[in-house]
Amino acid sequence: MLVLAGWLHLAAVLAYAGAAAAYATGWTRTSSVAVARGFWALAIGAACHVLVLVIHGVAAGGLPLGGGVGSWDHPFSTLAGLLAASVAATGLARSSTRILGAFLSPMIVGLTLAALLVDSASAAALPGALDSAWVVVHTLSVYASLALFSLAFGSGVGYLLAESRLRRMELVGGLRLPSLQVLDRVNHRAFSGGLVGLTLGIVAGTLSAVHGDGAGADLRAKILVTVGLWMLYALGWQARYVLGWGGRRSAWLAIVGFVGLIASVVGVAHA
Amino acid sequence: MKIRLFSANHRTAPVELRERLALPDDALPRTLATLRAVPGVGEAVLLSTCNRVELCVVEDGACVEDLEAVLGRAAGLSASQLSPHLQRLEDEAAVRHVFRVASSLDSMVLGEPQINGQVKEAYRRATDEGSVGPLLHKLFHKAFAVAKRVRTETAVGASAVSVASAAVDLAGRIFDELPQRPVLLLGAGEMGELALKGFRSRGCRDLWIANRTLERAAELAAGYDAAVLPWSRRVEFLTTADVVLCSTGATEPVLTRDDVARARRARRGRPLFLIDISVPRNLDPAIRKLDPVYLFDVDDLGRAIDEGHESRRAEAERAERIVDGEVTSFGRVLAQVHTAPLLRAINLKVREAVDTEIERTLGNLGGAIGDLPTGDQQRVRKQIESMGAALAKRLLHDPIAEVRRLGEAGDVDALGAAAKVLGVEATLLSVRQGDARLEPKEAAVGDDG
Repeated sequence: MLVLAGWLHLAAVLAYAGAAAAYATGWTRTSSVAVARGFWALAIGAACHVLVLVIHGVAAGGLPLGGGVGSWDHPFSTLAGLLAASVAATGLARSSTRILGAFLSPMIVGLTLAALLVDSASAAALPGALDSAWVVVHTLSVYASLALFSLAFGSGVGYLLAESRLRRMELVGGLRLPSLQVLDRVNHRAFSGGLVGLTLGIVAGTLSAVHGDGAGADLRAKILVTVGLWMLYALGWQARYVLGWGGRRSAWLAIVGFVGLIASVVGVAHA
Repeated sequence: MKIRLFSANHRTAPVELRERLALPDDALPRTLATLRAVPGVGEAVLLSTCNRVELCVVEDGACVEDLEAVLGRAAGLSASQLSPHLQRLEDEAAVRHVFRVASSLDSMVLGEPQINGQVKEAYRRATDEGSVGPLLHKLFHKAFAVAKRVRTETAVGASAVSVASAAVDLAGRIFDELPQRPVLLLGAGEMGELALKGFRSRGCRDLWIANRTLERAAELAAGYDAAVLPWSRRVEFLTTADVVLCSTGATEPVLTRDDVARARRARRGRPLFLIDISVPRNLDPAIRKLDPVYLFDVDDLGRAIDEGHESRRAEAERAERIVDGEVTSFGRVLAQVHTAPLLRAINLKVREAVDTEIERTLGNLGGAIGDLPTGDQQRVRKQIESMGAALAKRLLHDPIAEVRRLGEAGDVDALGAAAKVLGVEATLLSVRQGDARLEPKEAAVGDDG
């Protein structure tokens, strides 16, 4: 099973690389055919990657925690897989959004390569205190929220690009991006989903810490930063309904929020 | 046989003449019938729109003046009135013209979409009237395929080239599902009405008109199945409308930044698209600073239209290359038109000679094989017939290949010489006149050869 997972993972990596190359070709040569190829390569990669996660889950008899590029505690690979899956799902639901892969496929390739470069054998065994149902909820929620915030980031970049073209009246040439409303909707939905996931992740993480040995100093810093970011996101989300924020502001919020979240995950985790 | 085309279009004929050439619907069947009655005309398609008349015929020795006279009579024009304004094209040039017309590369507004539908309709009408034969069938189907290629592989018709299309194009870049967006027209100016028409033609049905004079608003609304909004309610309606077209004669802004800012809150992030077509401008330019609110004025639309024209010209060059390639490929079909009757004539002559010789040989052998059992007699007859067919096929191989080559090269003179050398001129005439004896058997020999 794990051998199959290894092959599938390799197929996913190759598909992601092909997708990034096709998207780059599509973007530089204004070829919608290349974009379509990029999307389908990304979707195939996502399907393989999700299968990898499932196989690791079956092999582990639950959440695949505890090492390897297919395991949940390998943040780069897991995030790449979930992000690719969310981009593919969005593109399947609405074909005009398939171009979003052009902004996100380099990130997916980067994450996948980073996962391969990290020695999977060095993944530390989980502390016994984290071996609980709350950890499962926490891990799933955080990864889902990360993937959704990444999607919001991609649609935010797309929105700013499309809006800038529109305001400068650059109406001809270049690949046609989805309408601003579609980009804003994808951004808002992904952001909302990410916020729900993050909320759940924080609650479950706190409960697991309470039921376990408690959080260490490094974990406390992470929680502090994450809760701070959560408050920022919640305010931004609320501003849409109270102040009528949307469009450009929402796009910037998604971009800044995503960068902050990545900084908290990578920076604080490795501090 | 030749494909011959007569065209009176915006480049060759003044509008007064084109108006007269635009035949009424009921005149088309009569004109097609008259055209087919002209000696030598085999097939005919007539396209008649408000902007062009195109007559495409397949003829063999028909008098050009007769064809022009039919066209002139249908429009009530004398030969001297019509003739100087007709463009006359043959074979490859005619094919290229049909492809360009169907692809909207010959239109006054490059890339406009209506012409393709009009060409299809003209073809359909001609088919219904029985005036389309195999060659025009192939030509027009190829023209539709070329037009599709041009439409999908280039952006020749994609960019906006009018105020209405520019406004609709901009809206399409902002909104999803444009037909469901409520559109509000402020004022009853001509440009605003044109823009409203553009949105209606894109499927928008939730249309509202607000004007200081309610009667004028009601009058305009009746023409577009729109609702009338009292002028005083225009600001509060900003929470509902997604598209606002402004074309009033006011000297002060009819919507201010504060008006839009208040509405924005209630819209909860839903974008608002405003187009100010008035001069002087009637929407506060400071509205542009609001997000997600998109305000464009008449200069912006002008820029979009200029870019659209420029883009269409650039794309037209790509489209012309596609047409060039397709004309070359259709040249093979044309070559068949020239060579097919000759090939049939050669086959017919050889087959007749072979049949005669087989009968003579069998007659000579009559005494020798007459004593054989019936089965053996039939076998002998079959063998001799097979030998005759094989011999004919082998002997014809090289001449047929050469005739095909000459046809592909379009060397009509050499084909004529070949007909003379092979002694098939008389047979060729009967082939062109549709000798029914020829159809199935000789075609098989030709295909094999």
